[in-house]
Amino acid sequence: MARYVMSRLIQFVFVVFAAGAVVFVAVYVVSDPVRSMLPVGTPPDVVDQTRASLGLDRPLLEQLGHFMKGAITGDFGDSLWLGEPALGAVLDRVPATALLALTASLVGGLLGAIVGITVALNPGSKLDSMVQVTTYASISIAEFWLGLLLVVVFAARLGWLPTSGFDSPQSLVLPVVALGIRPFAHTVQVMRSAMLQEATKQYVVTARANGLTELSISLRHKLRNAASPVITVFMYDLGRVFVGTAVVIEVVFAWPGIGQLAVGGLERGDIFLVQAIVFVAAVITGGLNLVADLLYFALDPRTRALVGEAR
Amino acid sequence: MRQFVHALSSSKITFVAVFLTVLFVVSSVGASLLLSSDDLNAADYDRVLEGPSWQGGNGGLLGTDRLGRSMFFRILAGLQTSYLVGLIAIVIGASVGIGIGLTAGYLGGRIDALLMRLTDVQLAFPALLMAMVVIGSIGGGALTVSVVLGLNSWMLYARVIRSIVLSMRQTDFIQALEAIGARPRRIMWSHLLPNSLGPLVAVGTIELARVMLAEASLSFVGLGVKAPAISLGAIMAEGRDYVVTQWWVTGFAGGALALAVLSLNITGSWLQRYLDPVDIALEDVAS
Repeated sequence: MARYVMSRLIQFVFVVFAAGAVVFVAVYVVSDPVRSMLPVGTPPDVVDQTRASLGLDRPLLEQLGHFMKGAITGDFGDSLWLGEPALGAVLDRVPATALLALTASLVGGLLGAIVGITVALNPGSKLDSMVQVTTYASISIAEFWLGLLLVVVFAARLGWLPTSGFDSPQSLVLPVVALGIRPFAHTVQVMRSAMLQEATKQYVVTARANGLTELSISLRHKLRNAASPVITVFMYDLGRVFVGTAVVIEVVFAWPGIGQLAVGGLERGDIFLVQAIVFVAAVITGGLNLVADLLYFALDPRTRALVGEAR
Repeated sequence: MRQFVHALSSSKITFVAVFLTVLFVVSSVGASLLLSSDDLNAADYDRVLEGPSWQGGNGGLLGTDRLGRSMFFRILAGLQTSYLVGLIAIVIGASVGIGIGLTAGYLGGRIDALLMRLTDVQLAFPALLMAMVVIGSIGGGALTVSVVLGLNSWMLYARVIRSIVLSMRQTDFIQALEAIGARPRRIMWSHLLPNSLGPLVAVGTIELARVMLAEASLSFVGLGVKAPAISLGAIMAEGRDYVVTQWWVTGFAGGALALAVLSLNITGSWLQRYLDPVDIALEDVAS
């Protein structure tokens, strides 16, 4: 057990470290950050001055050391755009993104689980094939496009919901729908196939012979065994939404989260802000992955046995 | 081949999906061969933001954009960019993934553990955000986007081929090859790889769909394919300013992408079932 947790923790540290390394190479080695910061046509001496004042004229190895030290102490420098410590500015925006991502994943995942269990009771039915088509459509649509369509219909035409911003609970509805369809579709697919696979197991026959109803077999027996893959896909989607699709959706809905901050920072060549965002994002995805692994371990005794054997 | 066609025509939805994919690929490639970038980007100020003709507008089949350019041809050109970026990305992703997966599965032991841990790490990356940052720093463009997305999409191939190799390693024919002294490299590339191609093609199709959506997202936020190259994501971003009144620019660009991606996803999942008989058997039992 301790060894398993330890190996997962090491992996978590490695994810954060590797993400930092990729960003360092992209920002400092391959490109020239000062050029993207200053307007075109800035006199060369001003460019050099800026470079020196930001410490970007130092040898690469020294910059790497500085970068690493900053990452460990949480000091990424002041954001050039906002004029405040970069990490603080990012952390201020995390709750808004977290609210959006968690709500979308939970709503999508729960609805998906219910629909998945329902269609698995009657595979091959008309409802089943309708749901299948819906899930395929859901994973094929660009979320930001759906978001724009929702704004046109429900905000602009019908006027039921606000177009953008984050002032009231109603502001949450449209971005949650746009972000939630993918977790919904994935959960339906995984839940359906996991339940169908459980249906072939011997214990289901026994339960049926004992006179249990199909619904109770599904909810009390099959569901418990089918839960692991569903939780895995849920955690995976949560990570993807949090630091992936939410970034783009925040731009569509002017949502005050880290995604909007990232796009703004990149447009302004604000390398310190961008580094802080990647660091926070890597901690979030790495952390979610860690939680997923531990949950998997806690929920499914079979994993525990497996880890025990491996040791 | 005949068997393939027969299997294909037995499912109506799959048939339509494959047909649409072929139609989109051929017509988008055809359009960009026949029309130069200048033709596609030339403004026509007499036909600015005209609606589709079937809606009473004067903009041809799918309307015109802010500069009076035909949406029909711009969408075809955008699709061509999507397919091209996706194709380069999956070639890169598949090459890296196959190399890693084959090595891990066949050699096993410590190398396997190390490579699979690497796969886990890469899977836990904040992928889209990292792609944005890398492209934001080194500059956009179709090739950069393809390479960045490709280097971020090898994990699935690696996992799939590794699991196939693991199950095949104990088969008689691999054991026979080892017995006659075939080198590991030869066994991996000439025997294990050809026997894993089916599932890999299915994974590639579904990954192509995913990469096309990622490219559109990147271009939508201005960190992807840049003008004069035409991208569906960039078209949608441009049409966003007037999407409430002139919906057809963003509406059709996103609709075309959704249809193309949906067709690929359906084709891919059918290929998966068709090329992997074991899986079919399982599904038959289940349903």
